[in-house]
Amino acid sequence: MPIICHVCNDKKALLKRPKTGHALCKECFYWAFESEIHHTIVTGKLFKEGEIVAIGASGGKDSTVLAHTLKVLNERYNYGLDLRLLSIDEGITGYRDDSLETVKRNQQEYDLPLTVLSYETLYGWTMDAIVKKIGKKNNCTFCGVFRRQALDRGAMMLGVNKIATGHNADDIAETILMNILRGDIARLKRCTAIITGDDPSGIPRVKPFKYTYEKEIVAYAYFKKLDYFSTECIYSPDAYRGHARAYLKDLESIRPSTIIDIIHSGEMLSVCQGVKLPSQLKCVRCGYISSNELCKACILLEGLNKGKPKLGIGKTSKVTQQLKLSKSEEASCSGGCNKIKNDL
Amino acid sequence: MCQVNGETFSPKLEPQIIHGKACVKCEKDSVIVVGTNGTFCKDCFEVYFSHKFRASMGRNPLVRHHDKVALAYSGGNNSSALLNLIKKGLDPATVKKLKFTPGLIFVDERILYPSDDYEKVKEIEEIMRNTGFPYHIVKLEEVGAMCIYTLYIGIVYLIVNHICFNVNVMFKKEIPFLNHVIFIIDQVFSTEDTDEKMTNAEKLEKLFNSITTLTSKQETLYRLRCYLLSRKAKELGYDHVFMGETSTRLAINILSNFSLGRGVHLPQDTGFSDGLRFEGVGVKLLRPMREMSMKEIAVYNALNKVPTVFLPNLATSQSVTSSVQNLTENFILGLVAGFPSTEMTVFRTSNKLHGKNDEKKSRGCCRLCFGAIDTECGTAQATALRHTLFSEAIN
Repeated sequence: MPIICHVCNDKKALLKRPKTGHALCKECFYWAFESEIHHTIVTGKLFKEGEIVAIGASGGKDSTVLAHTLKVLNERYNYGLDLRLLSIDEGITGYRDDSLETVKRNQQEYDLPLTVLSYETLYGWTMDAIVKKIGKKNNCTFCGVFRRQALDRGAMMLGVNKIATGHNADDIAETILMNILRGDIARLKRCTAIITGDDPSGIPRVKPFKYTYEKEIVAYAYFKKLDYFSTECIYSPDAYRGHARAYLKDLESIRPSTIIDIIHSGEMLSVCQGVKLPSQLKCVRCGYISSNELCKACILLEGLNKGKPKLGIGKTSKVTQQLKLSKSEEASCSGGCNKIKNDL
Repeated sequence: MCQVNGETFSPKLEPQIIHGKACVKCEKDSVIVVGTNGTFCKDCFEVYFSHKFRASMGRNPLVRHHDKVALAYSGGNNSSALLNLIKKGLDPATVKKLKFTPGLIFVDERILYPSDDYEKVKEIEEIMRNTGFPYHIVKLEEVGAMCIYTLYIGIVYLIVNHICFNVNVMFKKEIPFLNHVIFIIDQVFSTEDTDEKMTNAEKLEKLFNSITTLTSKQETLYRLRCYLLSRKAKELGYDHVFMGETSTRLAINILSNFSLGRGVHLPQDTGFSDGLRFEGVGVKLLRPMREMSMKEIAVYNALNKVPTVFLPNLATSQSVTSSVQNLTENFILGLVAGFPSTEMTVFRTSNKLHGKNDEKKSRGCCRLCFGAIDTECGTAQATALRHTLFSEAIN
């Protein structure tokens, strides 16, 4: 006997929701999925009417579903948002070029304006070139740091009010676990926020999928037959995050609610008084928010351009030492240059 | 499988001695490697080990002179090492004699396991008697007589077992699936089984039989055990309970607590003291061994030939993926093997965190675990709990 949908009690159920364990039919699943996102957007006060919102689009399942649902909800509930797609081209042959094609197809289907920014124009380096220098280990550090900044720069160029990213509940739970394992109190505090940005000059990032299970996003994309790109990044197998990810997946198989539970735990904790947290500064070179004098992206770039790609991956003390060295070199050089100028 | 030709398998208890490396304290030879803290000779290790115990007591001066302290003894490695430390510390020949009066409490959980470990419990009793301290054997089922509604709420806990709900709040708000909860309570404790008719043992058995997942069984047992220890110690006239939890165990507890949605209880569940958790009901649970690692304990026990008795527990011979706690244990021990500092990092991270509601004690506590309430999510924000309730409501 077929199982009947738990909500409408009429149609045949097609899937068991990982989140609640209820069996739902396709239509009711769409309705539940979309209502939950709407609920998150409303209770989290993610958007205001008339705002311009950039959707960070990679062509993967999360961002494709995000673009789709935001467009649907924007029309259904009259959020009054002006939605844009913003893609970053890291320059990874065989991965990003293909996924950007997906984004372009999505752009036509959803009729949203698309902007593509590449690492090459922003930093003068593609990921392919970086990997040639650094090797397959630690390259995710470059990609992650650069993308975060690239998204912000793109958003500033477009003059948007908010950036919406496709981070789902699994991603956030994984980040919480990672930050506990690494002892990163400052990030542990920040990573559970649904809207980022205490910094007034930065553009706030919102995560409408904060409470949405990865499995449900995949199911939604599958049933809706959305066009998305599903290949793992060719440079990605990142050792430490891999541990946390495997642990989380095992946890989910034992008890599906653990994902939301971890987020709940994270939300209910705050940092004790008297614990030293890094202060937010501005990078002296590019003006981007940073916890040091120079932001991570500038340090990494410096290393790449000076032919020392490992700079910024090891200890901070080495970085300061290296920067002092290069500063004195620069000083002597500029002195020399001036001398030549004067001579001329 | 451990038996070959009738010969009993037993692990080698002699510690491995490494030659050619010097002790970090006295530069003598023949040393022990302990975790990330370097190498020691036997004497310096003893000093280092007992100093850690005294230092953590010194940093958290809760035990005053002439206090009566109950040691939660289970026969396992951790509590045996603690017992040995205390015995040594009370020795008249010791330079700085410990100033409290100890006693031992053993919680007999055999009701949960159909086993023939009568001999082993005798062995434990023998060890306890040999110490010369007063000792008490408490049966787990006694918890049934103490807090009858804890058992009832235990059922509720099973249904909503991911988060420690405040039952009062739930009932007031009339959350839809509560009807379901009440239905189950009625089923398990149907009106015919009045409390008087059932013995405590039956009640406890019924509770545990009704729990379907090992995760919840382990969690419920842990909560009941803590409650029983705290309450019983108070009845017996003790001022504190010493738990044998090590930093390794606490790191595991921190992550499983996080995974079970109990983040808000981290300070109480993994701090030196469990704070005001059992205030009015029982005494405080203290964790003086929280800065030692599992490995240090094992080395100490081996060096001092501390007798230990292994009793099976809920996790014994279960697969790694059978419960959240087992998985977490496996995960942490695996990570520690590759990245030894992980354990201390996790442990220190939790020291820097506290629950958001800690300041407002008026919110009351959970009736099952006596922990702080973390279910008042307010109406102004998006929270995980609010979202979960919404998901439940629309289905």
